[in-house]
Amino acid sequence: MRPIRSIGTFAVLAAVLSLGVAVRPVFAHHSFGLFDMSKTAEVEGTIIKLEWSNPHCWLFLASGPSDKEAVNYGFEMTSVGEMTRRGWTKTSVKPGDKVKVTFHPVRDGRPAGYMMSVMTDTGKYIGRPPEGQNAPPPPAPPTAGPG
Amino acid sequence: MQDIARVTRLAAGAAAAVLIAVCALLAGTGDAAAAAADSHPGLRGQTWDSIKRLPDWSGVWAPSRPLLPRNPGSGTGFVFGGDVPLKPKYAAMRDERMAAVRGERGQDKIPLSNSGLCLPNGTPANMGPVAHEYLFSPGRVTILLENSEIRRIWTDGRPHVPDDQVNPSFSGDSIGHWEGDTLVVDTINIFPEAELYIGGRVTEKTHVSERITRVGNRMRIDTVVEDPELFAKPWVYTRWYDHEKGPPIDYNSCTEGDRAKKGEETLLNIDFNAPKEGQQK
Repeated sequence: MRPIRSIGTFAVLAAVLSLGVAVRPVFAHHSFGLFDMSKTAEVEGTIIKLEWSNPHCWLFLASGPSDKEAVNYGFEMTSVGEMTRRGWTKTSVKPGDKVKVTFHPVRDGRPAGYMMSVMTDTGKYIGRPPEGQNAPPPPAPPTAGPG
Repeated sequence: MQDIARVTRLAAGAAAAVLIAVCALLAGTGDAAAAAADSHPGLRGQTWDSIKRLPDWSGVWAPSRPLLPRNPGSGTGFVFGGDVPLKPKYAAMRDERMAAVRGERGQDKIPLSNSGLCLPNGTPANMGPVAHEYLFSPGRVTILLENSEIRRIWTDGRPHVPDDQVNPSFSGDSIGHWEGDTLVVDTINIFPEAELYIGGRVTEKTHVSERITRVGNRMRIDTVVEDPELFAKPWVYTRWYDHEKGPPIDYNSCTEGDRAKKGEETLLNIDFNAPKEGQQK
């Protein structure tokens, strides 16, 4: 069983990435450079634990046909405050819950990534759906000068 | 140049203080005096009464998404300093750090940011990643940041703390005045371990000027960062914040700080198998 299924590389994002530092996830503090933001992957598995903590929350997941063969994944998320604004709480997921995580994988191929969305086995997103999390840019700010 | 600028700022602050004193003398004592002080347009909010006439900045202000404005040079550099006009020496340090963060320098060479060590980011980096709120009280505006940092901005006309008395801090020494409904903030004496952007340091000479204005349901902060050591020209950027309903979120335990203590300084040396102990059978 291949737990990771690549669901695509976005050419536009990759093109912007090639400009250097111009693009980054909207919420990271310091370490998203580890993640390949041009790639998106998903994995299904069982929640091991949710670290509801700052500066970033973490979600750990076991994926595999059995406990023995399970691979453990770690997903970095954003701060408690920002996760809360996205509709998460510390009890949004519990150990043992079956979920599907969509994420930007780390560049070195380890089982880890930056969480984009988490869906329950009943097909419901935890917190706001990703459409809301990755909302289009807000309308252009008024052009009036400061003051 | 820096000294001249500082003297100018000190003089401006002293003049404002004198103005308050004169107004107080003319108007008598107590609330009347404070109200008179408020009659100077730059020194609003000197009494609980006059605070009612300040703009409504209540609520929580979260960095607008996306944090990456579409316009180049508009403050996108706060994470790793990508568009900060650093002098070549500091630009090279930034680029090296970014290469390390991308994993191009081996797994053990990723320098941590202050937040990764659970230290304050400090001014000006602290206005980047987290939400904040404003408290008005007589003669001061206090900014509470969601990562537990506090910025005290004295708006009573006082000058900056003299160099021979100041204790540099992560937030720096901030004084402010009002220009209409815009709060103009001037910050110096930032502790040199504070961050300019995530992963980059300020210096003893870093000078931050901010103009804070509510525009509809958003807050706009225009920032100019000057530092003759770091920059050939000032770093100028604008950031936007959205008004959020609901309470601000207290900062709780700092996991990455715990990891740093355990030697798991970065994502790359976290033992992903560790959580298996608590795994549900």
